Amino acid sequence: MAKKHLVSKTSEIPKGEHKIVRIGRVEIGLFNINDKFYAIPNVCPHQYGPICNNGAIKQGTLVGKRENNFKLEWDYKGEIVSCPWHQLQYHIPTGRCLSFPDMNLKTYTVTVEKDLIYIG
Amino acid sequence: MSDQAKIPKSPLEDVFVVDNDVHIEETPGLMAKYFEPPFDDAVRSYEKSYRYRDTSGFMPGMKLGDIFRNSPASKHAKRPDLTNGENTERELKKYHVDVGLLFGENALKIPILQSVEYANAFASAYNDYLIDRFLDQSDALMGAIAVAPHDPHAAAEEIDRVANEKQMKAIFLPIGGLDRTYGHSTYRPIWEVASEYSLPIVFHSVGVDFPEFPFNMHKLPYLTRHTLAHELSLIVNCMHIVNEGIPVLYPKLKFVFLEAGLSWMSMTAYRLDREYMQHREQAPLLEKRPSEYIDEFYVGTHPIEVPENPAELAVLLEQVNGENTAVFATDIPHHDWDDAGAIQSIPVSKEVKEKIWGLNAKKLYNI
Repeated sequence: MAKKHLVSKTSEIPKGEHKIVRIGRVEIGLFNINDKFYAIPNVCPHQYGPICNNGAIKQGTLVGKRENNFKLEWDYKGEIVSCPWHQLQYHIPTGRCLSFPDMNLKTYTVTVEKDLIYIG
Repeated sequence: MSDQAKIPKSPLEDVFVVDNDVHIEETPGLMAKYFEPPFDDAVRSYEKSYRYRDTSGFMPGMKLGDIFRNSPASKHAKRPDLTNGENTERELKKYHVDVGLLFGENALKIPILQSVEYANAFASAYNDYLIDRFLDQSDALMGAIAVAPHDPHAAAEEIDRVANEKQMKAIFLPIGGLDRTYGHSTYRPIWEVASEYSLPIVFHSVGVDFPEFPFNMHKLPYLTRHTLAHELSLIVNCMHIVNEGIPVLYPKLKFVFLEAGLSWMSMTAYRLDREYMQHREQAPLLEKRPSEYIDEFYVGTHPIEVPENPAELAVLLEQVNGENTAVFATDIPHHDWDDAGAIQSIPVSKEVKEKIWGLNAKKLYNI
């Protein structure tokens, strides 16, 4: 995105919530995770489902990490969004698809100036 | 004219060939002396009065004696006598096989035995029978350690008991009638000891009617039952071990799947990827697509598919990384055996064929 776009006030997205913003014809999900803001496209690469639509579940997920000797943990709390169509899970801060690393989402640069949120 | 003279010149004469599935014969009479008391005497008695002792005898449902011996199999009008190493090596030479991996016939059905004690005793007796009558008689033969899945700790002890036998090159996990499929956590003692000895795990099913999925098919025709018993049982065990992350937890393990041809494996990989995409949390140990683990599994070519267009076999091979993982198997002396010519007709390079005929197995079993 070549230039910065004002998309929201911080007060419009409380901690743990998100909203859909639009830049031209592009829909973007803007998430507040612990007062840090992240932006991902509102399109799932799988079958183009509206991944960030209202009702998108922001949750953690079950993992068994090699570095923790594969002990099962509930991790990425509040950082996971599931596509409402087929429940593909994405890590919001990085755009990483948890099942298929070749289906990652792009992430947009988000900046906050005073109480205004910009993308781009 | 001898049997040898009847066989035309084979493209395999100058090729290293490993047959990954050769079935030896175990009868109560031959195996009794390898059992510990009280089963030695019990098995000896089954040799004489087998007929009505189906569920408590030597092995349920297995026909012995002349009816069994005379069923046409392989290149013979009569079943060959594969009751010792010398005969078995001689038989394999007729097929230009340099090394054969041996399996029992009764041992295929160990999972259906009701008595855990007898199942463990059967596996031990089988292993000793295999070593004494086959492996000690021929360097051209390899064994796969049979275990009873009923008690995985006892299975691990049995592997530990015979794993140092030089010609024991794998662990044979029987599937026919299996209760809990092999992804279940109770089997971890087997994976641990197999990793310790770096012995590949070989899964081999059998057509058996038994009230466990997928063997509860008694109302279906034999054609369908026999097809599904092998394919479905490999599919469910393959899926389950991947689902539970066994290849992640035990990265040194190599897995071999025999007797359902090639096509089940690509279907399994494709379907599992699709489900994993949506339900990753139910396989939290996986670090890549399920199909990427399956690509590393070895697959026996027998009984190879017979598409109208042989080029489809090359596609199937490509789908399962077969150039590096397909291993030739005849299944002699069984009714649905494959000749090496089945590989010869696949439109792939000579180098790929040679890997399938023997070089993949050479690497796999460290021959």
